[in-house]
Amino acid sequence: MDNVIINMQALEDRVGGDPELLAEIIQIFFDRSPDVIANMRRAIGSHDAKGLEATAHSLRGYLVNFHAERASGTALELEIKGRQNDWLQTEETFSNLQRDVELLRPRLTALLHRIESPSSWRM
Amino acid sequence: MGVTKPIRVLLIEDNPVDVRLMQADFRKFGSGEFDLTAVEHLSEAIRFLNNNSIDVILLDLFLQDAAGLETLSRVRKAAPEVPVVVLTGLDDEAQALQAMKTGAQDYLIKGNINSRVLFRVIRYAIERKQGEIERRVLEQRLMQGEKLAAVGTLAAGVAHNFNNALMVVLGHSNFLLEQMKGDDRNKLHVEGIKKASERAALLTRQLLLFSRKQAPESAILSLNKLVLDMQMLLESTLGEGIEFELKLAPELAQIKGDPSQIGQVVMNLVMNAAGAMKDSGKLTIETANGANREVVLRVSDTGCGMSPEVCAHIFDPFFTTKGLAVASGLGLSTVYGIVQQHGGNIEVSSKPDFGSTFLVTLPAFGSAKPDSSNDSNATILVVADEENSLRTHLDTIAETTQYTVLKADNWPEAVEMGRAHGRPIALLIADALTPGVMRQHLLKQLAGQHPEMAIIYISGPEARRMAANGVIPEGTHLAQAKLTPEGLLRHVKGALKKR
Repeated sequence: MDNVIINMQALEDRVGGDPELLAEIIQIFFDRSPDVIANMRRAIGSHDAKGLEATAHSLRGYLVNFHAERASGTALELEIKGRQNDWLQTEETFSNLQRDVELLRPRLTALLHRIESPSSWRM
Repeated sequence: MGVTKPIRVLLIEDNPVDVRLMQADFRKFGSGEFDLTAVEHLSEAIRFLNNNSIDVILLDLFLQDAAGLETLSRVRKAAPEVPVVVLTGLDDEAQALQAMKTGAQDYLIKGNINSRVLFRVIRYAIERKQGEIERRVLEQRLMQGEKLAAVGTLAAGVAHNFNNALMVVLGHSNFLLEQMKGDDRNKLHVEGIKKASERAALLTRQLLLFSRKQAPESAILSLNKLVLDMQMLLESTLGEGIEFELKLAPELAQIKGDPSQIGQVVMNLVMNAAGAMKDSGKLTIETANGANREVVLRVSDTGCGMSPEVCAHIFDPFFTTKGLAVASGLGLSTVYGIVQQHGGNIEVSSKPDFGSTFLVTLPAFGSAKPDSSNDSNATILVVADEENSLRTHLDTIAETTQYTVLKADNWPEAVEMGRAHGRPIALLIADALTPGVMRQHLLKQLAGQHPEMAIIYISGPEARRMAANGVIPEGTHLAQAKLTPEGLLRHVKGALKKR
């Protein structure tokens, strides 16, 4: 279940056990993802299919790097909806995505805290 | 250990996490081996590619200013020779495969990347692209080679038919000349026609030699004569601003080989020199006797020269510095092959901006310093057309004696042979019926070159008339028209003794 939200082993492998690199990419996600999600919301509100596809693709790019399988899967659903100009249940899928991302955030925050207190650092 | 250049990588990616992760991969595990540049937008990437050399591109297909396969096609248009690795998500693999069909060399799935996979894919992509480029170049050169072969066939066909037509022109010219009286005011014009036809016939013969449509043969030949035979063709290859100089050794030893192939060696070296000089310069062809019973051919130009790196590859098949549109890359490798087949050697020395010299050495045939004082191994030059029985008689004589027999079909050829032959000609045998414009003049030229030369004119009414008119030099030995080989040998010995 935990691996669905974030696959820690895969993430550790990807950063090569480098806590500073991990902290850096988490911070990038925290800085950039709110804007991407806000743009996605706007695209859905205005039925901008290309905008939805692009923002969902962009967010998925971040989520894939954290091996956040469920969230990236939901982002892909929205990306496909955008590509196919399919607005059926889009709001619902978007809500699911927000929920998945909200589940991911505390995990990443916890990781950041552990990195900042090196004695307790272990992924 | 040699210092190798780092592989220059351009990462086109707008996700900052992906960029950061790959930067870390390159910094930690590929330091020194790779040189990474990352850009976020396609427009920025294209600007960069227009101004920089890159060895490999890592490309995210979805960027803010381009999406999908269009991204790839725009990158390939900007850098067609650079390998591309597409970056894709697990769920976009179908598109990645599509990208490979349209020119990408490989793809990487985001989330499954690590430094080991990343570097391996980059190296393979570069190798694959190099393979593709080499294959394409080879295909183009093969087509070029086939085109050249077709041109050769066409040239040979045209030359053959053209030569037949020229023979008709020559025949009619001769006929008209025979009918004309000495003071006929049209005689000059007919002689002009004949002279031009003879020149054209010489050119077509050279064209046949060059196109190698003549059966390969092994003959004893004079490199000097071969160069002189080709002189007109060689000069026509060079631009007007190029000075052409021949420095032919007077006593050059003969070589054994295929005249058409040796002719191609000379032709290709001259064409190469012409290409190096473009509009102005000097081309020198030199022959000499080498120190170790060899004949040396030196072709020098004052052209652009070559760097040591270029020199190292100059004989490689398909190597060219001129581009495929103008060169096959086979000229000098053909030269190398022919020289090797003849047991010879070729070397090149060159300096950028100062020119190049190609030095060909071929084994000498027979004595390099022939002794001309002894009549028993004298050189006899015969001027008679191919069908003439004189030539077969002399072949018979040559089999049982040590005489060297040179055979010329006509007077201009005789003069060239006389000039090119490396040793004195002791005896000239001419059939009075052998036609030739300015024969008297040419005979004088030959006699001037070989002051000790005795002359036998095979007699007939024509020769007797010429002798009476003073056309034939004094002291010329007149032999009867119908001779046996034994009879001819007696005349030869007699004429040589009288010298």
